Amino acid sequence: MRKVIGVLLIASFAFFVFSLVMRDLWAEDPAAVRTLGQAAVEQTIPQSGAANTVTAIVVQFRGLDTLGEVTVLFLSALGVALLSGEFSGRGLKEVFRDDGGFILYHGARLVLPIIILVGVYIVAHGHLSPGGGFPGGVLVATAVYAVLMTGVKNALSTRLMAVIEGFAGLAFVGLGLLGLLSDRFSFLANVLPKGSLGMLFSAGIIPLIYAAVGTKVAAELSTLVTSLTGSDYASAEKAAQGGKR
Amino acid sequence: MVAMVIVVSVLLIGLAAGAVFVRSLGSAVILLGTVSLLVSATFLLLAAPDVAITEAAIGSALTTLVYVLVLKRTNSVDSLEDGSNLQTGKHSEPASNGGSPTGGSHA
Repeated sequence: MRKVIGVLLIASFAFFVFSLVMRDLWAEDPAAVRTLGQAAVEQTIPQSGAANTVTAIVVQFRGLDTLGEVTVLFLSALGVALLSGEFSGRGLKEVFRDDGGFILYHGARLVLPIIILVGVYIVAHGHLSPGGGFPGGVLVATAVYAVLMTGVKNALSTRLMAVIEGFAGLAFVGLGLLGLLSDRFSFLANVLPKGSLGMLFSAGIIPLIYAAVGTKVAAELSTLVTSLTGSDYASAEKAAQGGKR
Repeated sequence: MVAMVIVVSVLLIGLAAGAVFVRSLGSAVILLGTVSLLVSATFLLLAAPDVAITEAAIGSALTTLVYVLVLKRTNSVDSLEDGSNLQTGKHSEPASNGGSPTGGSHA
């Protein structure tokens, strides 16, 4: 049974991959592909002022969807926190008990600022170059994880992270309400000045929303890996109590 | 470029098949991470760098990481314990002569 399901899954995956590849590489005139994309590309710069069409679509044309995505991510992080005993104060046992050796210990500290810098760059330039709030936030969380692998306890306060995350979410909704309060009467309307194309401060509310999304994703995923590795504040307190006994 | 996409796609499907049929859950997770990385390369070759970055960060890094941590939590992975035996080197050699999966990890 397991093998039959596996073969079916692989076959459908292979069909999907090859239809995707064939369509883009050998189709004579992929007209059906081009119409919607062409319209989006043409409307991006006059309507949003963002150099990156994908970001203009994700944050402005379907900004409400992005708010929903952030909510889904928040709910799954909340579920992990509940399951790992974050709220009852009984954290999980820590996974990384020693410092992981010389190379891991110093290598993680060496790459930490570099990864965080790249993550912040990807978030801040989301409206200019590929990237945006989601991958940038995930990069920051992986940098935190690299340090957690060296057995650090009490690395970041999950309460502070929760506060940061809440304020970032409120900033997203507040920027949306800004559009509702303006004369366009539309949630998440781009009411701020567009600036000149390709500059860092351009495209109205898009970089601000991506900054909020990046902060939120970085905060909640850092909390997620911290509570899953068991090296959060609660576990550190518990370990200290265990040491006293 | 067409040849490159075909090579990556065939590799992708082979790795996905490996992830389905491999015995150990830890190996399946690592294979899935590799599949994600190759999917990211495919997106890049198909001129979608935005999706490629997201796939590399979320699919390849974070998902693998969460899977490994959860497997470690549920104690359903043996290969990770083997890794910790490797790390402690010859100290765990006498302890793990019975082939116990929890070798020297609780030292």
